[in-house]
Amino acid sequence: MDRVTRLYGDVIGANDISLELAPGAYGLLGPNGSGKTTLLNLITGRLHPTIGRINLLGFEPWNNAELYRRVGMCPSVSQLYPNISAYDWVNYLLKLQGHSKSQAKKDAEKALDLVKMTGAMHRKMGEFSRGMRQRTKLAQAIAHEPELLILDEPFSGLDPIGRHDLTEILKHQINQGKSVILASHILHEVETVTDSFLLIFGGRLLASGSAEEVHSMMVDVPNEISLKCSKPDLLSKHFVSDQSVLAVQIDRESSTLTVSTKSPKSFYETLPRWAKETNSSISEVRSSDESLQDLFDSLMRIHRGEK
Amino acid sequence: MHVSAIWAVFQFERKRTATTTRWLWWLILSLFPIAISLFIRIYVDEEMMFSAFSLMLFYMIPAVVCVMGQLLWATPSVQSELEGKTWSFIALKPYGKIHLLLGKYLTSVAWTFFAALVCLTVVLFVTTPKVSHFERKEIVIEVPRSFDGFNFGNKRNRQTQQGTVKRRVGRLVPVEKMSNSERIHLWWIMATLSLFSCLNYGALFCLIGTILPRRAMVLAIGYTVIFELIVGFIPAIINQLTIQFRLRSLLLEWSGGELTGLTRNNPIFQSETSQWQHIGILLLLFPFLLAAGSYILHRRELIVSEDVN
Repeated sequence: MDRVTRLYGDVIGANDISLELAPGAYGLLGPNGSGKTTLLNLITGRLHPTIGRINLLGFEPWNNAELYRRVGMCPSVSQLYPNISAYDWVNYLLKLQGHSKSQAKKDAEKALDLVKMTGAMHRKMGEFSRGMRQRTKLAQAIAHEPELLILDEPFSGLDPIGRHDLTEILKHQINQGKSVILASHILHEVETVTDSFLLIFGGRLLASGSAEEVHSMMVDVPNEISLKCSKPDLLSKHFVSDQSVLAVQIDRESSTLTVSTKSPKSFYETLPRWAKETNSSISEVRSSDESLQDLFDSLMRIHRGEK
Repeated sequence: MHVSAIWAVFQFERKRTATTTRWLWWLILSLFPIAISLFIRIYVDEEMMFSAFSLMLFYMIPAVVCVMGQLLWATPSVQSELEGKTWSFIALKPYGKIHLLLGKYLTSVAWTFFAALVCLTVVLFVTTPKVSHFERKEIVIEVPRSFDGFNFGNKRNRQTQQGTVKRRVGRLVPVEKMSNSERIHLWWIMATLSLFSCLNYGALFCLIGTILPRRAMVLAIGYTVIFELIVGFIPAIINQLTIQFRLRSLLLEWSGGELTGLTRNNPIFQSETSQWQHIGILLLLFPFLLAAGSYILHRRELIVSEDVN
């Protein structure tokens, strides 16, 4: 991308973005409304840049059928045709990819099997849970075996098992030499798949780097994690002894602990050991992206020259 | 152009659109001419002229059923994908956007033409309006000269007295007793006109749907009322720009002189153009409209609301 800007009337969707990516896996990280989807649509040629030039896999992306053969896209939209089965839909989209009838049938079945939807593939998509719809969307994106897979908020609505399965599928794609761009607003989701990040906010590409670099940027920014567990008092003692934990709040009524930490990664790594030592069962873990929002705010201030 | 991709869209759409709501609309559309013909059969105890019956069939089926069907089903081809947010998936397929439009066009033609054929067959062979007696005779009426402003030019008309002219307006044929060959002939005329109507109005409304997807229905209804209904009946060369005019002209040509008395050489109904010219125009118009719609869709940047994050 060479100095790409995209305007929606008076609103800037992408602001003077220059970017060159080698084949590999990248996480596009930014809060909701930061311009992630605009950037993905510019890359895939669904949108024209107002200013600047884009080149993807050696092609000008706008309306480029040749490029679309080599790219798989999983958009963030969750609406699918309610009275159509997952198999029929994936099969149909493969035919629009240029596959023959027999090839489309074979590839649709294979892709749906890969996302563990074989059992439900003949059910109407209107009956699907959000997680099943995400899996089906992923199946249509990988069915034609693209060399570049672009996913917009793919973890949205997935349960822990679904997240794990999706992570495994994406890792498998990356291990096969496929490139992946994964857009999300939650750092830990992206972190499980790749350690290369692009940080976007306000339509600007603010920073890029590895997970360590992002974490080092976030070192002073507390990350809030809440847990539902059977023994909050015992567990909280361990948290307080941890150097990275800044504050612990206990809600005994709901057996919930809210932990503020500057090193969420190490916290997550140590959490199973603490749970085992206290013989405490943890039923729910939630991480807010407030810390990420704070990081983006800081980066924006730096970008504007305010700090 | 990938024909099998268009066929894939057609097959998918056929399955997707076969909902209870769609079938209900289809039934309402098909029942409308049948109900009118039944009403005439039960409540109108008068002879119906063959010419009037032909015109009634024309306005009920190729004009109303086909236009309404295409308005309902061809116009929102793109809009429905944008509103359903499924456009995001289609737009990134090598054979996506244009093939979607053409496949959806074929589906709407199939739905509408099927409705037209069903109601045409029922009206012609089952619920044909009843008449009191069977007698074939010429119907001649006297019209004031002041009403005769459109140069009827029928050689058989003759002036009788100052201020009035006699007009042969049609042949009195009790339609219930039409011969089978007459019914079949009329069926073919109406079926062909219905097909032309579906093909051309479908293409026109698909084009409108690509020009202004989110307001397509309003624009299509506006166009139909202003151009096809009002301009189509203006006795000037402008009415030749409408699809209605071409269809009407073919009806008059093909009905074998049954409608000649009232309408021949009347610029509201017919021009001097040969039937082959009308057919040629109708056969060229819909590919042109579809090509224009495809071009616009190919060039146009269409996004769903989620795409702007």
